[in-house]
Amino acid sequence: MTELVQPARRVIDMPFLRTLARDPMLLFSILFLVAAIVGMVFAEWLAPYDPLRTSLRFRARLPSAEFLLGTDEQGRDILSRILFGFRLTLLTSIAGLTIGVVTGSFIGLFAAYFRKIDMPLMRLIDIILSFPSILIGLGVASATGAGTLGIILALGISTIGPCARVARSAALGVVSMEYISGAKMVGLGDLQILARYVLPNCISSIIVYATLRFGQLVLLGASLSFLGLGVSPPTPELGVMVSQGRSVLFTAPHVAIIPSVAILLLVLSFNVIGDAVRDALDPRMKV
Amino acid sequence: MSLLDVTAQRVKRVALLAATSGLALALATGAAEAQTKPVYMQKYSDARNFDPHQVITRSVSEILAFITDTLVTIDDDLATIKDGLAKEWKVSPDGLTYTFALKDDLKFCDGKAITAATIEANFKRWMDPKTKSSSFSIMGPLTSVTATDAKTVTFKLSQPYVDFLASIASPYAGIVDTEEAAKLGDQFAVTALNGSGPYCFTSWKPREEIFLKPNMNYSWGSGPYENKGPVKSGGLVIKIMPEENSRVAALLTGQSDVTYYLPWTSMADIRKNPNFAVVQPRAFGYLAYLGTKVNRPLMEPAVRKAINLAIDRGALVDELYAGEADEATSVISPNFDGAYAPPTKEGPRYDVAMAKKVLDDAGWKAGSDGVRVKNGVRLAPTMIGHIPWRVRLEAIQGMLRDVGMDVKLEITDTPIAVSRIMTKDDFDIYGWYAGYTTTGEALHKYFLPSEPYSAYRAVPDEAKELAALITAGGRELDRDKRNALYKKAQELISQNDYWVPLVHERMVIVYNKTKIGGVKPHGLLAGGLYKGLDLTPR
Amino acid sequence: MLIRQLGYRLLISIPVLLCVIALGFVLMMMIPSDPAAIIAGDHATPAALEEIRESLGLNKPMWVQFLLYIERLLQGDMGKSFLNSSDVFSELSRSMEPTAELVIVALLIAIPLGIGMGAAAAWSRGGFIDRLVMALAALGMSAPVFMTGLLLISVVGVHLGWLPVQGRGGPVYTWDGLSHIILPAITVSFIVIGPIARITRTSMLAIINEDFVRTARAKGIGERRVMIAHVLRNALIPTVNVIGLQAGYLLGGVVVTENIFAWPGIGRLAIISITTRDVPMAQGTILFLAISFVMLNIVVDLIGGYLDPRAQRL
Repeated sequence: MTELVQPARRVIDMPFLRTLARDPMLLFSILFLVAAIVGMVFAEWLAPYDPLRTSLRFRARLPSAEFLLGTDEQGRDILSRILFGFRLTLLTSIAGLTIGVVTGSFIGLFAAYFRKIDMPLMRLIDIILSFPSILIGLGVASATGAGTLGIILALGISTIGPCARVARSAALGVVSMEYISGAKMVGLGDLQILARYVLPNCISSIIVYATLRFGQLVLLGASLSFLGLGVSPPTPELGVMVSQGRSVLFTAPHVAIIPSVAILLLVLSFNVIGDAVRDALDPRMKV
Repeated sequence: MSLLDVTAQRVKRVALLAATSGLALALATGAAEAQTKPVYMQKYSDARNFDPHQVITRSVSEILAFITDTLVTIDDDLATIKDGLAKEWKVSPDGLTYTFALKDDLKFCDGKAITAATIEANFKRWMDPKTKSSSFSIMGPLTSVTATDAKTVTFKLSQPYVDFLASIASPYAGIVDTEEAAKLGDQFAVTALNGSGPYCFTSWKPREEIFLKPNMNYSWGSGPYENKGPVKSGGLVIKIMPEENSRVAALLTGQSDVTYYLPWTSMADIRKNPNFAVVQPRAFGYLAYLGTKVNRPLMEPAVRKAINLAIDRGALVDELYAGEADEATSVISPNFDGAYAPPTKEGPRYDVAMAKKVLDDAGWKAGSDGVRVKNGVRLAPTMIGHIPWRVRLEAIQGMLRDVGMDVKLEITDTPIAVSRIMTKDDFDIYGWYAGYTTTGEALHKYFLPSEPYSAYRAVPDEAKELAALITAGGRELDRDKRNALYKKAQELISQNDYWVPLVHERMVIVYNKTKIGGVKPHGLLAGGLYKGLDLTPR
Repeated sequence: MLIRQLGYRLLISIPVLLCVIALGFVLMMMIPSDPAAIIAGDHATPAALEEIRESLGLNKPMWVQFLLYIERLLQGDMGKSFLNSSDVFSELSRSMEPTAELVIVALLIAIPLGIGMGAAAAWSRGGFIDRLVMALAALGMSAPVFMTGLLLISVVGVHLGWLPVQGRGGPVYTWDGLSHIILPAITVSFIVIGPIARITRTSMLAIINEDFVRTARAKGIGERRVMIAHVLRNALIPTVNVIGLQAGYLLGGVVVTENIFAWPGIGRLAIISITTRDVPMAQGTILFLAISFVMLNIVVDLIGGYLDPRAQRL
């Protein structure tokens, strides 16, 4: 009886655990990301101090027992601000990614499926694609005024173009298949075909793209905030924290460096995990 | 003596000669080079143009003293009047007529002669409503300027004005070529400016640098300087560096020779560095303050009083100024003649408990998020300022949060902030500087309702008594009587809490003593080098 | 053939550019600020503000302003800066040179280093060097640009005091110029070193088994010469492509780097003009950047097509 249970468990666990053991970076990335998410979700309880409470006389202190990651140029606890900052960073990036991927996928699928509008649609995409993300970010954020909404829009709009291309590529491969023309002959509506046959076959490519893109969006969002186009102080946001830390860069570099490292670890974790996910979904694409 | 000895002697002699001539040549070239090397300065913000009749900000006035001369100059005690373009002057006993006698051989940068007619044309342009100058008011009750002959200019006032000579020494009264101004139109003081100062406005790369060549026609010397002729350098290169860290780095790496724009937190290290010398003028009036828009509903007297009690000025001085400033409990620094400060237990001070009590008593009760509410309105004022004030204003935002105010902070670039402060009413609090030369000037400039930066600009009716005291003081030639009037005026100002004085800043000039000499500190309108006539590269 | 391609590409770009200009214009007009107040600056009576608004044509309807803008643009007039009435076009042209210099030096660092790292990784094929290079590449692609820049300033510039950390020195061939450009160029190069190394490694691993390499080996040509002569040349193609793909991130990195190092290029000008609401200057910089970007894409496409005739497509 017992032999029946054990082999099943080993089959599921072992390849995964073996992968983890062979790849310490993957292990670290998963642990870090989990910690970040837990920290971000439970920030109110986990943060040792109020992230907005300033205290000039405790300005720019180095990490110590009292302030685990030190204090910033206004005497605020850096660790608390990073926990809350993760929240804003992750939510902004997820929102931007969702907008971009959903819109882009729609456009790409429609272009591949309805061949008549393919040409003009892809030219339009070319135009949007011509705008590098930073310019879109500068333009949008400066028009809507500095703020989270501007950043989300910038991230989203800059994702539409490349995502549409990916979705279109994937969909083109599917659309020429026989079962699509078969489904049409049977009398299924266009939207039904798109939803039930085309989309599911493109999903993995889109997901692969999304995982690639997420890290880039975190970096882009941080850069836009760093340049002053995001939230205004004293709201804790990682890019803004680095920018404000520049005022004490010569005497207390940790104020700018620590949030930078936080961004680095976040993006790195995501990229490493993203790589692993891609390898699992499509070993052919292994770089 | 053997042949060897003779040869050795000859060789030694030749070697000595070669060495001395080599040294002499090096010294001479070095000296010549030093003559042609420019002096490198920094400033932190750019300007829109350098027309003395159209500007009222420090970022321009510091340049004006280099490129224009005034009739008289003022020493670094901000009290002693010295010669400028005029060699002597007379005041009539009733104080209504001033007569100035010009020096000989006054010339603009392009060689054109400066005569009494030039002076008259300058003041006429300044007065002209078409010039739209907002700085002319410093001339007070001036009614006419006349060139009575080629070298004499007469000024007539409608009332005595004690600070008249000090105002004429202001860089805003700098003498320029008005004919050129008329010809160039709005390109005047942007692409060219023919000035009367020891340096010539040569080139301006916006946002990058300003280059001033020496005025080789300058032979009359001005004021508190030893050098009476053209400056002994290759000119002044003023680099525009808005970034604090860049300014420090430039000084440390020798790219800049002199500056007074260093972040205070780096002063301790600079003072320890043997290459640098640190000097200060004898007098300097520069108040950092918060102004309140008293006609806005949130800025009621209790709130203003609470703000004056909630700010830890000591922490600002210790942490942000590294101790190089003085807490301000009044508008005018105690070092100035006629200044008044309220008693310690009454005026602005740090008393959080009292601040909270004042707000409680006025009906502002703390809500669930800590922010006070009264009649359904949240105590959430908007505070504006410009970029160099960012850290300071955020600190103050934090301090006000501790007493239950949710301050919304809007920091913008300098020109935008200035424009908004002076013309708009869509905010509650602003952070700005008040520079002044005398007690009287400060009171006139900032508390007469007609002035652009006046605290009472929006509520001129409330300032009737105050205005009367100030103008009476300005007319009073007797020092003690004048100071008594000024004291009463300052008492009134302090009681109303229209302004929240923060700190009295200092003018601290740092220069690389291995690279330049002849640095005479000054504080007029926060131009630390004033005319820079003695600046010499080594 | 090449001329026809170039011509076609340029033709396609015109509507793209028009849309870019229009978008830029619309976005700038949406900015909530009063240009008149900015120009009037220190002396802003309501009458003065009205006068300025009239002279700028701010009271005309939006589409009229847009047409006026296009008309002036075609004459090479991009307006005057709100800050000090300087000519926008000449300031932009002056700022192009430092940015171009920065990008070129950065690429001169990134390409040889990236290809070298990628080649070493392919050579090592699963060994220690391979994993090290891949880890460094991952790090480089995850690090925010400002972190690299600020770290370099803090360590090399301040603590070690080896190099200046702000502004631009003289021409690049002088020590003054070189010492100023090194740190910002390294910062920018970090953005593309990772992708270049990765793509070089992949394409070299793929090519290494190709027939012509086996033939060369069979002929007896030394292993190293095989690598260098044949494999490397074919690895250059995807490198050019990857730089084209990365151009967007490169631009973003340049903007941030110029900001950090006070490098007087177009990126810094763009940020300053946007944050100071200098509308003509901001429009001008965004337009300039967009045009350069489109041109860069064309050039990259053409180079890629030249290097590998198989990849030519319309």
